Amino acid sequence: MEDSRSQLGGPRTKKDADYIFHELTRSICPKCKRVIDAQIIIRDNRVYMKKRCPDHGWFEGIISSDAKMYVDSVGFNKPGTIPLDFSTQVDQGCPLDCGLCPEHKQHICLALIEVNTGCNLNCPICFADAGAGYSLTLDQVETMLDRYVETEGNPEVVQFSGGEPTLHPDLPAMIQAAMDRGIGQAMVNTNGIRLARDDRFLDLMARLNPVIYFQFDGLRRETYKTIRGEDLLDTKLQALERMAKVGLDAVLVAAIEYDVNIDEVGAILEFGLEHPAVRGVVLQPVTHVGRHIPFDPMHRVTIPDVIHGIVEQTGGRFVLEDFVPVPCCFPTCQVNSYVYVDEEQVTPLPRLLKIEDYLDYITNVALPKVPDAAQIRQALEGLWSASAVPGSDKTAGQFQCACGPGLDLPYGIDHLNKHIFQIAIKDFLDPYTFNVKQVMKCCVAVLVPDGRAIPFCAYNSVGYREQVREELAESQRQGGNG
Amino acid sequence: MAEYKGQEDKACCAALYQSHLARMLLGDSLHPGGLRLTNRLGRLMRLSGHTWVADLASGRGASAHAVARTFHCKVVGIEYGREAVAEARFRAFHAPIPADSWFVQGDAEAPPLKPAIFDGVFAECSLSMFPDKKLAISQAVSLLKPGGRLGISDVTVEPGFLPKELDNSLGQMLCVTGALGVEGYAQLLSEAGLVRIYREDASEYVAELLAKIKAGLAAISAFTGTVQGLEQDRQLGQLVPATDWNGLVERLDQAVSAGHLGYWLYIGEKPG
Repeated sequence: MEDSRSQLGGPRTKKDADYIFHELTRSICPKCKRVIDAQIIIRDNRVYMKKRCPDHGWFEGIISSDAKMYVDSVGFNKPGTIPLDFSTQVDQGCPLDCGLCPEHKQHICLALIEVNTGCNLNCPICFADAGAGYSLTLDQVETMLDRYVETEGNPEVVQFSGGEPTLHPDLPAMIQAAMDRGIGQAMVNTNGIRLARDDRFLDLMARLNPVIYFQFDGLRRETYKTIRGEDLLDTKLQALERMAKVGLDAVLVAAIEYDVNIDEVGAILEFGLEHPAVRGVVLQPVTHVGRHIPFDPMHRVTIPDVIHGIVEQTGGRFVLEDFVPVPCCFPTCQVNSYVYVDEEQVTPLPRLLKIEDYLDYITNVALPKVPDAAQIRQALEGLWSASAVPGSDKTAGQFQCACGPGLDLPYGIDHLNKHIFQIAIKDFLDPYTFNVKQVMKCCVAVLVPDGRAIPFCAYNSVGYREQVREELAESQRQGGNG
Repeated sequence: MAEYKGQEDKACCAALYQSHLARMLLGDSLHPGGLRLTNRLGRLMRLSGHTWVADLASGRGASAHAVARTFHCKVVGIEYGREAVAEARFRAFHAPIPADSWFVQGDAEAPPLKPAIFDGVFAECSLSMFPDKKLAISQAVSLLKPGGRLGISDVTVEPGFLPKELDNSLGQMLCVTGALGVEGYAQLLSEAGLVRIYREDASEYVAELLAKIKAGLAAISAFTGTVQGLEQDRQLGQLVPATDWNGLVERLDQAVSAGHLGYWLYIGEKPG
């Protein structure tokens, strides 16, 4: 015995782990999609998700490159709103009962309708894995909109997506159908090719006036070749110019990836601030679902990388504090900022108003003692929401109200509409970062023809997308309507 | 409560609604809840494809167009204001997505339409403005086929609770002067012989509309004298006496919370 002990050697000293155990949550196995426990750990000021599947072993992926930012965001979490009706029952537990099931913690701020799966591009990166599949009928979309109205009462935003929705011959009628039902804002998520080339289509869009959620990944040709498979820069610029000419409002949406365009976030923002058609930018770390280029889950873009990128690349125009978590969804999902743009002057709203006094619900239980504090909070809740659409009257009104005490804005809504600029950074989940806690309070949902509304990240990661697509494609092959 | 009788008042009311001021304050859809409540009313009326529907006091036609497209029905709008009728027709002609809707100029209290041909008749925020509500309802009912449904959405003011600064043309524009209480409309429908009367509270949309009016008033005060269109409203300015706007909106907000002011939907069926 003594001999063997001396062979092991060394002092019997306990060692510290090289990480802080932050919390336990649930996730899925990236291989088999089974629901498994997941640990959130902090190591070297970075946040990781670590989990084990009984069949496929351990997985680890980064979820935030700035632990302080991640932990500080926790207070930006407001009570959810219960929808008027649910479409499924609680059976297997989250995220297998979507949706929404009665255990869901938030209503829908933004609904997506993927009207088709076909596309006029074949991008190496596409969360929707666009290609052959289905094309919804106008009837189906009307039924989905009716169900959306039934469950929400006063739905705020619907975004038509795909595939490439502008290829759908009934897209204009679908936009009109959303407006006719009183849905606050219709948006079209597009690569812009048809807007760049088709005069009649452009004119029709101008008359319907949806906000264009415009894929715009950067200002370098190489970026488009990597992300979209071809050089689209000229087409993109042409589409924007034509939108400006007919008065269509655009939001630039960029998929951000390391070694591709993380060094362009500042340029994209600056370009957007100056372009007459652009009312905001949405910067989205690439979601590794559907089609994507090979990636290392330990080395992926997260929200703090984008914020730091903006601060470093805009020559002092922005500081870290200009970006505030969005409290309607889970606060680690999205940060927003708003700026008032006037000539050369760019004023971020968080410089005029301590946003955390209003939107950090846990640290600041009492509202600031200023006149109209409750109204200011209400306005800020509207702005810091997944349903805030730059270019809409509603957003301009909220900005006007929030600015009351800080900035003298002697302007009407129409003026503000053209001078308020939104910056949103959204980190969608993939199978490595999938966190049931976030999905449970998700307020962005994909509507499907059977009446369900499935939280966006569950739709992409858990297997709903594949299931819905297969069912719809099959029923179209058989000549039915799904 | 002031009574507004006669053609002159009706014309004045229609003019108010056609004014730039009304448009700036209220937007395109001139009633609380906008097209959301129009949609709700249509669903409660169970409008469906290929039926005939009349919209009483159809304004610039926004609701009629939306209802025709949403429920795939045929809508005839009746509106007193000539300019509004012309605009509704123009919009119908130029709509990017066409709708089965037509517009006629006429008095909803004596609608220039054949009786008993409509499956549905609706009036949004307009019954409160009709000087003779009983007559208006009986005319609306006469348009319905047996089994057809009447849909009303309107401002409710409990008797005796109208703020006195609104007992004038401003109140008329805000639909409150001639408004009935919650029970009043139900009784009116019942007295007109309708059955299966259903009502639904939509008062939350008044609070929303008040917030919108407040923002609009702020914008107008900033723009006064610079917007050309407002010049045409000078006459309107004389009709609307100087008012402490924000204070008024505040009092209206309180009235909504107290249940004295509201907005309700009513459905009634013509016996078959």
